[in-house]
Amino acid sequence: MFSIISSVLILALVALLLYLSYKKQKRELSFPAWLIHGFASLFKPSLAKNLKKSYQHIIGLSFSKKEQIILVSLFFCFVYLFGSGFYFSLFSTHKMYGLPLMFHMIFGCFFALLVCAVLILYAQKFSLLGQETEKKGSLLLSVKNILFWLFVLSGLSLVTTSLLMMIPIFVYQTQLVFFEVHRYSALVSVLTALGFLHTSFSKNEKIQN
Amino acid sequence: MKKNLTLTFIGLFFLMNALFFFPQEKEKTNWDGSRSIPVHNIVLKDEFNQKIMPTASYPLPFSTRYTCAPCHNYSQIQQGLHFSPLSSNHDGRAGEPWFWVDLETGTVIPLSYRDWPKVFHPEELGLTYWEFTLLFGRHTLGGEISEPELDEMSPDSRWNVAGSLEINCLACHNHSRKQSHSEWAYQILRENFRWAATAASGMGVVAGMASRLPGTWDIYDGPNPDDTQYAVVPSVQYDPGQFNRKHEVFLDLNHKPDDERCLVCHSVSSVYQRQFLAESDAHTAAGIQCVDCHRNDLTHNMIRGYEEESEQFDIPSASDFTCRGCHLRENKSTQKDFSAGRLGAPYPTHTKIPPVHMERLSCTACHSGSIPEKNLNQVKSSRANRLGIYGIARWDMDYPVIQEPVFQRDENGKLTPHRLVWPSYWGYLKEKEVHPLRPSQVQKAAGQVLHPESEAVEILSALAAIPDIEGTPVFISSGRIYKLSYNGNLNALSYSEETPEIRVFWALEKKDSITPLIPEFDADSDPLDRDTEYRIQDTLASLDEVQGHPGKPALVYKNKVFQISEGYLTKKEWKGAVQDFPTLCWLEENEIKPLILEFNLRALIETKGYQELFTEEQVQSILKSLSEPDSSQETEAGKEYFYISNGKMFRLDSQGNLEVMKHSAAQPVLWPLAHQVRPVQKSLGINGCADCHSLGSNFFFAEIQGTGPLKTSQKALRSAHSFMGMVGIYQRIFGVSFYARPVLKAILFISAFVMACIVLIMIIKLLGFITGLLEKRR
Repeated sequence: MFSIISSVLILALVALLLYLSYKKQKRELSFPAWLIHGFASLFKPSLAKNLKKSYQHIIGLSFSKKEQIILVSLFFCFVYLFGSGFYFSLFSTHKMYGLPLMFHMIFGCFFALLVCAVLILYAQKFSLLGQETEKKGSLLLSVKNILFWLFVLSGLSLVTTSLLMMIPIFVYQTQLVFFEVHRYSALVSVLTALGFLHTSFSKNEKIQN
Repeated sequence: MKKNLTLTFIGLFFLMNALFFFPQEKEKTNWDGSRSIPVHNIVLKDEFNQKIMPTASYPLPFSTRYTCAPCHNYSQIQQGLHFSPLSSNHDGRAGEPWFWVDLETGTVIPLSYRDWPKVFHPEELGLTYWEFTLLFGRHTLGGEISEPELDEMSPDSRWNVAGSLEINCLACHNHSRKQSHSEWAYQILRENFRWAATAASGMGVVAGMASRLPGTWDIYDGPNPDDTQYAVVPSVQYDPGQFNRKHEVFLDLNHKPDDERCLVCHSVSSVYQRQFLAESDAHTAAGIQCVDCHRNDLTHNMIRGYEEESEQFDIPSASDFTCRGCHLRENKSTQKDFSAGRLGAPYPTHTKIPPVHMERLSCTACHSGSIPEKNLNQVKSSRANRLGIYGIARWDMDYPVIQEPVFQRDENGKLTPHRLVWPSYWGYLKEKEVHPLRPSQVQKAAGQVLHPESEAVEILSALAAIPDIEGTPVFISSGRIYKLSYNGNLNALSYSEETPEIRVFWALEKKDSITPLIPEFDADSDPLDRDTEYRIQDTLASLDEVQGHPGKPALVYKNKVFQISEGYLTKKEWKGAVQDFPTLCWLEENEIKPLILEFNLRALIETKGYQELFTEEQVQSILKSLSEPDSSQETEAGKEYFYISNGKMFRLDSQGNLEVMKHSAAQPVLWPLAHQVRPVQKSLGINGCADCHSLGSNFFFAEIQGTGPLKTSQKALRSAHSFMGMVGIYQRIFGVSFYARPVLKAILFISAFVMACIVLIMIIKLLGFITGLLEKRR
């Protein structure tokens, strides 16, 4: 069940985000042609150069060195956790075990620390109670802010459930419940992360209520 | 449209009627529903379907085929798991094979009529049904191969004399304490097949041995009044007290056999465990009988209880009787006759055990067999080691060496504990294919090489016949004392007292002391001391009685040699090497030959009193004999003879030296174990993850060394993880990672705490904002 839900939701969100990106760019190409063009550009020799340029443009200019290290580490941790977790959920009949599990746990710890750091650094920035709005008496319910807090909540759930699964006091059935909560939290975190990245790096910044 | 709708309603009406008012006919069973056991006051019938009169002059043994037949369908029962290794549709999960053990040739070869990995089909060794029954009938229940049709009988068989071995229903179902498995085994050994069930049941006493009768004897011939001493025709004397006036016998039968009956063939115990400390299976301790789980109907297709069984045999209800079926209430049965979680099976909490373990391990991995230790635990099983047969002689054997637990993946990919035996056998390779040899073929080629003790036994027996000898003749060599046992075998014990520095010290063992057989004396005196002279003369005369000795018996001491010539002791000058101690020897053309050949002595020193049976030197010699062209028949070209033992293959290289190599045929045979089930407190993982996941855990890193009858340093050595298909270094790293887990837990806890605090602050602020409290405060 989880594999179907997660596959459908992730694919649907990716498709939606791609479509939104296409719409914003106002190209003369059709959507499929644009997709093919974009896909082909991944294999061009200039890809590395372009990525470096984009990185400098998006991250390098906006964040300090320390922030860059935190964000890039979080990104790679998250990619491994997503890859290992969803590989076993979608393509394997067994739950994760062995070396992938060991690294999953290690990266999970780094992830927990990095989310903490991000939260300390940016909680105020993404607060739903913006300074300006506070005075006006309304909440700052931008999509980006909501996605940020959803990501944090799902991260908290991920960390808590993994911690509880490691504590040898719960019976098998309870462990299975934690496991289910853990992977649905992972799904939420993936969806919110994708949405957050899209809203952060697209030109259209905020939708205010 | 309206018409169609009306027709549809009419159709539905009839369908509903059919469903509600004509219920489906259910399959009727033969069981009347009573849970009581019928009293079996029955007439015994012989193999000719004739009523047995206990008072007849030569009553025949009863036949289960005809005695039980009026009520129970014998041909249906014949399909049962225990009786049909040949005709079964599926071979099922590998089980314990039969082991043909021949200690003389060091043969321990796994056999089965079922197609299981690493076992030989009896036909590959030319074993006929007759031979198989003689070898293993002691622990079978008869039927099929032991009850062959006329066209299945081999020319060398003696079925007409012994009779067929019918299915022995009483072996399992007899509740009487008189049912004797030992008696069954004796009768098989005596080839009294048709009498075995009667003798074992305790209803009559069987005398005579079919094995001594000529091959032409037939049951119609009856007893032979001319021979009452040796070739006595088997006969049964029924206990008349067990028959009523209608010539009926009360059989105390159990519908569900007692565990005691199952354990006759299915006992497994640790070799090193004392009987009073042996634990019973957790289920037995809880009052559950073997047949409560291993059920069967009249077909006797017994449920073995492993997870894949229901699919393999297309019996959905079989899944109800697995560990998971009872304890986890998982069953694939479409029949709702049984409720899951039967017999009060507790639902396991599996606290501390991460869920992945339920997918990667079978239930038995943690709950059954021996707890993993640095070295495997050696166990004995009834069928392999001939347990449960009692008499004056000990029937049990050290071989095969069965070890447990070895964890290997089953068909579902789950790690399952197995028992293991390293095979040992002689054979030849032809076009890379392995062909095992029968022990008789090896015996023929090896001759005396297999009996290094025979020479010593003959000499000690001869010395024991010295008149007025005041002790037991023994010899001491390499710190061990060798003497004859009460049954004429050679026994070896360690000996630490000081002895003369000679290769073999012949001595007399008295109550508390060892004295030289021929003490030191003045060799130059003439005449010799009277006692010494008599001792020398008697000793040499006794040695002269030894069969096939290579020379004349002699005593060499200093520069003198003593021999018997024409009944008198003669003394001559010895021109060879001076002997500092009186040395008994064979003298041939002025050449000293030791009483015991050096080859035999080395073999004795290496093997006598140890579990190993022979040396590499003997193997080399036998392989040479096997490779030499036979006098009657030339050795077939392209055959490379070998001996497999201790997990290695031994064969001759081009120079005739013994070479050791790895070969898949030398790999062990394994079969999964299910019992005995340990209580929860003794299950693996009860002490935490480190039970298995540590730097050098016994679960992953137990050392598994090749065993066998050969004394060699060239033994296969494997680590437990290699059977699991896992990489050792990875498991070590994984094991070490458990030491870091508290750190990981601490990091997760601190992170979760910080995150929760920040989120909580945000929530409080948000609530304050929504309720207006925050605004008021400002």
